[in-house]
Amino acid sequence: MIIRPYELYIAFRFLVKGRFQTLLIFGGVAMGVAVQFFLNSLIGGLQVSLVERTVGTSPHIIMLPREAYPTSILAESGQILDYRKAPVVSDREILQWEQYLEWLKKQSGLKAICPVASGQGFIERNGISVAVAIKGVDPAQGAVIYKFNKNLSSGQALLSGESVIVGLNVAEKFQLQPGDRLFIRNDRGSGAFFTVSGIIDLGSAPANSIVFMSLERGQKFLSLTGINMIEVQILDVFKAEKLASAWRNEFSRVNIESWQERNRELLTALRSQSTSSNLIQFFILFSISLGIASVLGISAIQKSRQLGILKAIGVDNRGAARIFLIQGLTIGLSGSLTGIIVGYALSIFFTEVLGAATFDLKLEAANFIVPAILAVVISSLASLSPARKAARLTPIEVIRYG
Amino acid sequence: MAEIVVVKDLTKSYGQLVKTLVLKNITYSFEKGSFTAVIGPSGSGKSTLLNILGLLERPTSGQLIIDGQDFSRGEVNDYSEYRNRHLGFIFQFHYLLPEFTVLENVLLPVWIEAGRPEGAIYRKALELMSAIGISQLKDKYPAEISGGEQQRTAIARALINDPRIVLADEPTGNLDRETGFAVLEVMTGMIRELGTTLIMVTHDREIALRAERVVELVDGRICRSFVVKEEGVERVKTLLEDRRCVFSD
Repeated sequence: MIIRPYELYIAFRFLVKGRFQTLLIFGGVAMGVAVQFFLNSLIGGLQVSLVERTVGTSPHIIMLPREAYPTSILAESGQILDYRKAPVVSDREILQWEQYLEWLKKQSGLKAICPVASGQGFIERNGISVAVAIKGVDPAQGAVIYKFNKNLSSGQALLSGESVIVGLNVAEKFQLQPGDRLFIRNDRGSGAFFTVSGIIDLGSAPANSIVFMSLERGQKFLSLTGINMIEVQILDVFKAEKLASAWRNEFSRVNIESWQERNRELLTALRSQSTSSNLIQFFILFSISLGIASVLGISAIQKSRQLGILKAIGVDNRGAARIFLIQGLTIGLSGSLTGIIVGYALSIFFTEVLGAATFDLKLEAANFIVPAILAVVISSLASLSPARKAARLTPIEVIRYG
Repeated sequence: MAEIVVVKDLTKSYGQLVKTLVLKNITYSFEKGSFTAVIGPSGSGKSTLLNILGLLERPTSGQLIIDGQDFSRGEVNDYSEYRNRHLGFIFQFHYLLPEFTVLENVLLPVWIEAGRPEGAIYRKALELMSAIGISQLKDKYPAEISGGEQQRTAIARALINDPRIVLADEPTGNLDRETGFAVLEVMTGMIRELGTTLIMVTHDREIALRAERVVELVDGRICRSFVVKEEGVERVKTLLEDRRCVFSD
């Protein structure tokens, strides 16, 4: 489509001279894009913040020993049922965990791979005994997953020998300070003394009831020869389920769970939030397109006289149609651009000036590019009908009937 | 003198179920470079004839040849380029675009044809406008000037592309008598100077007297046609006074 200069010239003149109408549609497009941009950033930011709070300081994918699988309940001597044997057993440990670790290290998109010895312990102090979760982790990898340095509320993140990091809830319950010693008993009844090196706040009660120690110490404390969990954090949290299912095809001897599987309610909530946001945006777009279509339609009727004259003095059908398409496109483009600027300003105002959000807005390109492109497409589509009318108009209709 | 527009057996009817015959078998040749007045009472079909000659309406049947080219068939909207290059229009109402200044209105046909005009075309437009007496209004909008000035602007617009034929439909119909004659004077003067063919519809017999040829339409048929010089002014006056029209059939 080659646009001839006169088409541009006439279209722009119509827009400039029809100030009020132009402003109406222009305002509609700009407002629509701005609101969509703002809404997208707000809801996107909220979701990122929710997900971050949920899985930010926890593994995204975990590898666990295989769950219950059937075994033979026949006695070794022959065809006699041995009722003392359990019909299903489950592995307590991942014995060949180093192989899994090697394999995982070769995968891309992973942030941290942490072998974990996990189990239960009981802290005994002042005559009370309280159950806590014990996690023996690789200190470097664990520091990445649980963001030791960032989440440390006091002390230092030291995991070696008898040094442990305790969750905030545990520390409060036993009034522990860095440097304090505490006795932890394992589920077999034996126990050991540990020294608190730091206290960590992971944001949730279950996570704050964990006592972290080094992997070797954990293995020893829980009497494990191997480990019983590999925790993985990945770069793009939303790819967790996809990766997990790919890994499941790779390995059948371990159980692989993604954070999505373990947080179904959150996902459902996020999804319904997205759906309602999309629905609102759809109706915004819909009403804007109705507005553009009707204003451009009215303008086409008002300008039919001018078009008739233009056609009498030589504008062809294509030219007449393009005069309206150019108007739609111009309004779409300029309105979108303004909408992006207004939307951005609105987001900044909301977060910086009002301080209304406890989370950062997700100001990313897709949030304004998509509504902007949609607005341009819709404005152009809305100008199709007046353009078609303009193409069909014959000059005599105007000259005869005025 | 050569013929520039030839119509043969031209008819025009409107309506699908009830057909109204507006033009009935018109056959006539318009001379190149001449001024022909088409007269007749209202409803006689003179405007329809002019619109067909201006390629703004299609004839129902018959032949229309302009400058050797056959325009009997085809869609009105397909002839936009020909209208732009070779035909100039002046209507009863000025039909200027209110969004454009007087100078821009005059230059519109050039823009449509060739894009943004060069300096030479600007000078030509300004010369044309000063000859017509509107050069001082070039930056005004149509709503800011008088009816006579509007019509003069329309005349300049019709002439800017050096058309072969100028078609005028009651160009002074909306003006008071004095202004009307002044505008007419300018228009016919300019057109004669440029050697352009002028076909003008009017119901004003006094205006028709200024033409070289007169065609009188009654009920969609040519009642009489004559060359003013050949008949002599006095005879033409009586001919124009004569309201009777007897068709041979």
